[in-house]
Amino acid sequence: MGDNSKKCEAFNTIGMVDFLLTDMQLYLDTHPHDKNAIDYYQYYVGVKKNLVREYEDKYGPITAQGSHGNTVFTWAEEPNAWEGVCG
Amino acid sequence: MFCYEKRLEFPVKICQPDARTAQAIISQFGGPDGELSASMRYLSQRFSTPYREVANLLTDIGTEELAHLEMIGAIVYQLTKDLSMEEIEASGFDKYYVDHTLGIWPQAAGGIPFNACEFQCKGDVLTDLYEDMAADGTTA
Amino acid sequence: MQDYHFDEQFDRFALAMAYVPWQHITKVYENLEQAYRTGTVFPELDKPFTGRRCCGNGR
Repeated sequence: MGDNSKKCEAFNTIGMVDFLLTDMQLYLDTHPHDKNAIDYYQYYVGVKKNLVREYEDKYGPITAQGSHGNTVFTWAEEPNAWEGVCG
Repeated sequence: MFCYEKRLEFPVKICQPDARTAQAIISQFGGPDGELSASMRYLSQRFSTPYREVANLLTDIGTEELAHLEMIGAIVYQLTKDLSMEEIEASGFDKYYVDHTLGIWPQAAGGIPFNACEFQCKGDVLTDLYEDMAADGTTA
Repeated sequence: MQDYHFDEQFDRFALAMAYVPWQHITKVYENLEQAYRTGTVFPELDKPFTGRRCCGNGR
């Protein structure tokens, strides 16, 4: 149970950081020269990359290409996003 | 080109099924101002948009709307999971159930199937942007 | 793209057309969880849905 709550916390943190990127990306589409916004975006791109790598190493893939296993392609075995496992 | 991350943009965890609410929420899935309509609207309009910044904005918003579509699908899925036949009949959900059981089929709450008449793509950037604002509720 | 400040040059805007003001970032939500829950990272775009139409008095 403890491990699941750590997994869910890590998973939800990825969602939160990615949301910031999504919102800032829309702003940058129409304001491509805003240096502060670019710095903010690149900073959180780095944060998200690290979070995803840590999560995928421990718990399983978030993208198909994040599958690390050698003997089982775990992508299709993980719960689907709509199943409400973490929330 | 589209990539997929196996997570919802915002978590959905519904513990109490509710068929009556599902009947209303399904409009946000396949209705005229719902997420499928929004996705198709933006992802179609972007082709004829003359300004790259705006075309990219439409691509990015349309992509995000697909993520919203997934969330609404998850909501309807969780609201209708494990319903009893009594609940289905009592809530009026039986009219949907007879054609789709617990499948998630894009339609408006009133029953109109999702169709391209629910959005417009005029090939004129200003017209298309006004259509976007009207549908997105920013002018509500 | 043209960039007009909200309160400038209104007399130069043609009649019978709609305009959308240009966004200028002033700040973002510091608290990431708050931004995530709110649904935007920009406080100026935090416009909660109240379930009713806009009022006529400019609110």
